[in-house]
Amino acid sequence: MTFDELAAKYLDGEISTDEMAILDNYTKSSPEMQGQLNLLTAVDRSLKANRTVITEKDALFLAVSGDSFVNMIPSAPATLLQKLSGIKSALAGKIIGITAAGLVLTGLGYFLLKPPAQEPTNKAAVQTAAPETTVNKAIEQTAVQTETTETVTEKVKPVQQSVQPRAAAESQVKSSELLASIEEKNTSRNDELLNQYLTDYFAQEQAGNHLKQALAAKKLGILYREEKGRQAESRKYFDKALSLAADMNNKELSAEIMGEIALLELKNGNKAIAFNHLEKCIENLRSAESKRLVYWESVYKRYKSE
Amino acid sequence: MKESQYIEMTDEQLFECYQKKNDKIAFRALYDRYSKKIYAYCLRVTGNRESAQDIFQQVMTNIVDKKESFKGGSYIAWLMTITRNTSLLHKRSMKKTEELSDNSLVISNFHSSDSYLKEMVGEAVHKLPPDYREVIELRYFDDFSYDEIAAITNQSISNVKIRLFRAKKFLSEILIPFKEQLV
Repeated sequence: MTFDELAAKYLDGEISTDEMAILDNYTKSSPEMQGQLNLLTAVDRSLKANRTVITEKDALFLAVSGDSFVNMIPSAPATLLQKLSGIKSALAGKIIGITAAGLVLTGLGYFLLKPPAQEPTNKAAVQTAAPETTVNKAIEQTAVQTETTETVTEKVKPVQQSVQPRAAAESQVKSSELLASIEEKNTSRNDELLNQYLTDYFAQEQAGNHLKQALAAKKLGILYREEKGRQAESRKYFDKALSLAADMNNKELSAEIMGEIALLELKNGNKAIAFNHLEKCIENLRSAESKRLVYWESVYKRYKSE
Repeated sequence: MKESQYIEMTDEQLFECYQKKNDKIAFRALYDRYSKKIYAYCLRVTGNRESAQDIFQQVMTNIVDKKESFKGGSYIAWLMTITRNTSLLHKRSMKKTEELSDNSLVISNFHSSDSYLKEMVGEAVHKLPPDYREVIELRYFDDFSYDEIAAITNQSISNVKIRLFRAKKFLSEILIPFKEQLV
């Protein structure tokens, strides 16, 4: 291995013990090589010291820009998961419909057929024949519920009694499993983010880093805003972020948060409050001569035209 | 998909998610991977924050608006092509409006710091042949990894390493008059 190859590895911190021994031999036997290695090491150190410095202000710019660019991305076309979520209510409606139909038919059966009291139900037979699955357990439950509600089970024809609840129960179990899996997928991602942001928020609070705490609060506000029924929490964190930004006299960040609050209020249908915040946001950005002005002005125009 | 799964994905896989499904998390993951490096590059080539922020926003807007122009290959190479072209156009427009009368001076001043030595090294980097200068700047000033530099410069990793070492040797030769101060 040549001196150059070894020196390159040495500078990259990738040299093995054996290779280092060879390099030592080179430098010990040649003062010229020793000088070269010293100079190369010094150049490497100086180059590292010349690394472009990203200041806290730059980091803030990047964080704020990141959020904005993500907001610029149009919503994804409905994925299979979202489509399934979308049919959630319809599916639930159908289940109710099927169950109701089952009850009506059961009731009708009682009046029309009036089976002899001694005729045994074959419910037990159905249960024994069917494998022990969640579906069957639910069938049993639904069947029992139907019996209780109607209090006529013993008098209804066995076939009718088993088939109607079975259809309803199968649908119910399949759909509830499906919905549970959808909920799980949706919430696990948000929970993960939520934990991450909350941890960050409290860590920054403890560290007394108001800027990072405000950024974490803003992220929490955005996350809660996208969740159903958590608008109050969203507003709480936005308000906290806003108060921190105001304490720091950070006009640009205050403006960004007011913009985000405006989007929340628009979502809540509070147009007047929303536009008031958007106007304040734009005013602040204008006075701070911020580059973000163009973005928020376009948001304002877009919503105003609606 | 869980957040952790995004972390494990390659640049190209993430960009595909964003390109095909408008996946915001994938976009954000890519943004988090490269925003600092891209911004550092913009800062270095312009020499001032305002212009760097202009270029950076233009680059990101291009990525959002022109995502279809990515036809495969290396994402970082594509991203750096956009960044370089945008920087070049910006510098030209600045020259036209005479707002930046002496770019080399601005860059030189940017590299200067409290240390005279750092300034000397910065000056020396500008005396390197373009190929050498590029790898030094990407590696040391913008903090790109060997893999990323290889993709950006369309070279193998071993070639990047060789070029980088030669560049450092070249630099050390330029800086021989300042040897005592350096070592």
